[in-house]
Amino acid sequence: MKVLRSLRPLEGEHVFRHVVRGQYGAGSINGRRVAAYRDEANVDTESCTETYVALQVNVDNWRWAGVPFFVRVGKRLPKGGTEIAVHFKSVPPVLFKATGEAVDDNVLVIRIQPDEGVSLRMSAKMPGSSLRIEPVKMDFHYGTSFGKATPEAYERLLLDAMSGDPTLFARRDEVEEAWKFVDAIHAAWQTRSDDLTFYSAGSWGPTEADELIKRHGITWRRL
Amino acid sequence: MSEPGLPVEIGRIDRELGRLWEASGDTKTRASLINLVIYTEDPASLETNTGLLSTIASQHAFRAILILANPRAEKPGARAWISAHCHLAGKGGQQICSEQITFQLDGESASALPSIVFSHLDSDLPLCFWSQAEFSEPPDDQLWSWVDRLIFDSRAWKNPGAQFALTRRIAGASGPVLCDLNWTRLQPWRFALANLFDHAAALQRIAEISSVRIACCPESSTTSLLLLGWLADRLGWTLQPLLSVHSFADSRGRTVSFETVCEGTSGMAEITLGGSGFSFRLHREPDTGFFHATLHIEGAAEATLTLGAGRERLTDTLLAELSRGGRHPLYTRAVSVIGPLLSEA
Repeated sequence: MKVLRSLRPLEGEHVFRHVVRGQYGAGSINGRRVAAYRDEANVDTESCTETYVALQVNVDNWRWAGVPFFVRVGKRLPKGGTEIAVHFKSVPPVLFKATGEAVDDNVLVIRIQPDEGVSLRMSAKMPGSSLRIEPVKMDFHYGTSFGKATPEAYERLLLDAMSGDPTLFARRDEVEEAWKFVDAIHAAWQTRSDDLTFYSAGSWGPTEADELIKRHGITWRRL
Repeated sequence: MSEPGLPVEIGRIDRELGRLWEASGDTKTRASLINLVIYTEDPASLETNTGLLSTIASQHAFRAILILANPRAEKPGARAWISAHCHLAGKGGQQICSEQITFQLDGESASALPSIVFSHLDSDLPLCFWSQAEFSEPPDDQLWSWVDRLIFDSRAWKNPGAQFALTRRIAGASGPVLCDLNWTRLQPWRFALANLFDHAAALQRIAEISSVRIACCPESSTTSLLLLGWLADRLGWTLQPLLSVHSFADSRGRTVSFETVCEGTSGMAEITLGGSGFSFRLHREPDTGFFHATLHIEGAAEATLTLGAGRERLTDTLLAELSRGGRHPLYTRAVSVIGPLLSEA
C-alpha cells in the first residue's frame, strides 16, 4: 500500500510523455503468419484497444527517489513471461589503469513465470593478457535445481482460497489504489486516439517504446 | 540430408530443451556465453555449419540458432530441431554442453527471421549474428539494433559496393560491430607486412614507397582491396579517384600507384611494395603456413625472411573473430579509404 500511495500520478499530458500504448499489426509468431488485432474475429476493424503498454513510473519515497521503473506488457510478443529486472548503476570502464569501452550494467533478474528462478548477469574479464570484459550469467532454475517445478500461480491461489488464507490476495484498498493510478492514464487516453502506435506481431513492440527508455540512456533488456 | 537434431515443435523448443537437460543428469552442464545466430540460404551448408559449431563449442560456449531460409520456396513452412555439442572438461568426466537450435524456414516463413531470433535468444547474453547470405533492402532496424556483433564475409559478396554501403547503414552510429571475416583473414598479412619494417633498412624507405602490386585469385579481389585500404590508412595515403588510373597521393603529395592482378587459385598470393631502388615482396605459397619475404635494396645484400602465416581454415578465422572484443576501427578506416574502389570490385 505504501508503494502504491507513493506512485507519482500520471495525468493529462504527462501520460503521453511517460506512457506508450500500441496495438499489434500482422506479423509472424513461431514461423507462422498471424493476423493484425483489427483483423481478429469479433474485433472492431477500427478498434483503438491497446495490446501493448510501456510506461515509466516513479515512486516518490525515500527509498526509491530517483530510480525510474520501466514496465512493459503486451500481446503477440516473441516470448511470454513475467520478470523483474534490477539494473545496477553503471561502473566506470576503468580497470588496471586502462580505459576501455563501457561495460554492460550488472542485472539481477527475478523470473516469476515461466521457468521460475533468479539470474545475475555481471561483467567479467576474460582470461588472458588482453583487457576484454564480457557479460556472463549465473542462473538458478527452480525446476532443475529442485527436480520439480513450482505450482502454477492459480494452483496455489485456488488452494489458499479454499483454505481461507488471504496472504497472497490483494486487499480491497490495494486494488482501489492501483486502479486509481491506472484510471488517470485511461482517462487521458479517452481524450485522444492519435497516440496509439502500431507494432508487428512477433516484434518487441513499437519503436516509440524504445524511444521512451532511450531517453534515459538505456535500452530494454534482451529477453 | 540427415536431420540436424531432435525434431521439435517451434512453440515447444524451450520446454523440450529443458527436458533434454533434465534427462542428461548431473554429468552434463549447459554453458552459454553468447547467442550465435547463423543465417544461411544454402541447404548444403547445414552440415558444414553444424560441424563448425561442434568445433568451436569447446572454446566459445554458446546458444546457437542456425537458420536455413529458402525464401523462394512456393509453400510456406517452418521446422525446428534441437541438439547439443558436448565436450569433456577436466578429469571428473563432467561434460560442458552448448545448445543448437536449427530452423528451416520456407517461402513466406523466411520473413519471420526477426521473430524467430527474438523468441529463442538466451536472455542477457550478447548476440553475434553471422549472415552467410547477402544483406537485403530495407534493413530491419529492430533486428539489427539487437545485434552486438554482425559477422559476414565480404569475399563472398557478388555486389561488394552495395553490400558495403548497406552494412555501413546497418552499423550506423551505435549499431552492431561489423566483423568482416575477410578482414580477419588478412590479419597474418598485416602482421607480416608490419614485420618487414622491423628491418632498419626497410623502415628508412617506408615513406618512399611509390608502387603497390597485389596478386590474388579472382575471388579475393575485395580481400586485396581491404589490404590496400589498410596500407593507405596506415601510411597516410589518400585515394585520387579523379584520374583515369586510380592511384594514391602520399602525405607529401607524391603519387603512389597500385595494381591488383589475378594470380593463383586460392586467396591472397603476393604483395610487392616498390620505390626508387628498392622492392619488398611478401609471398605465400598455397596451403603452407608461412610467408616468404624478400627485401631487395640497391647496394645492399638481399635479405630473406620466413614468417608465420597461420592457417586459412574457416574455423580458425571464425575462432579468431570470436576471440576479439571491441570495435574494428582499422577496418572501418580501411573501408572508408577504398570506398570508391569497392563499387568496381
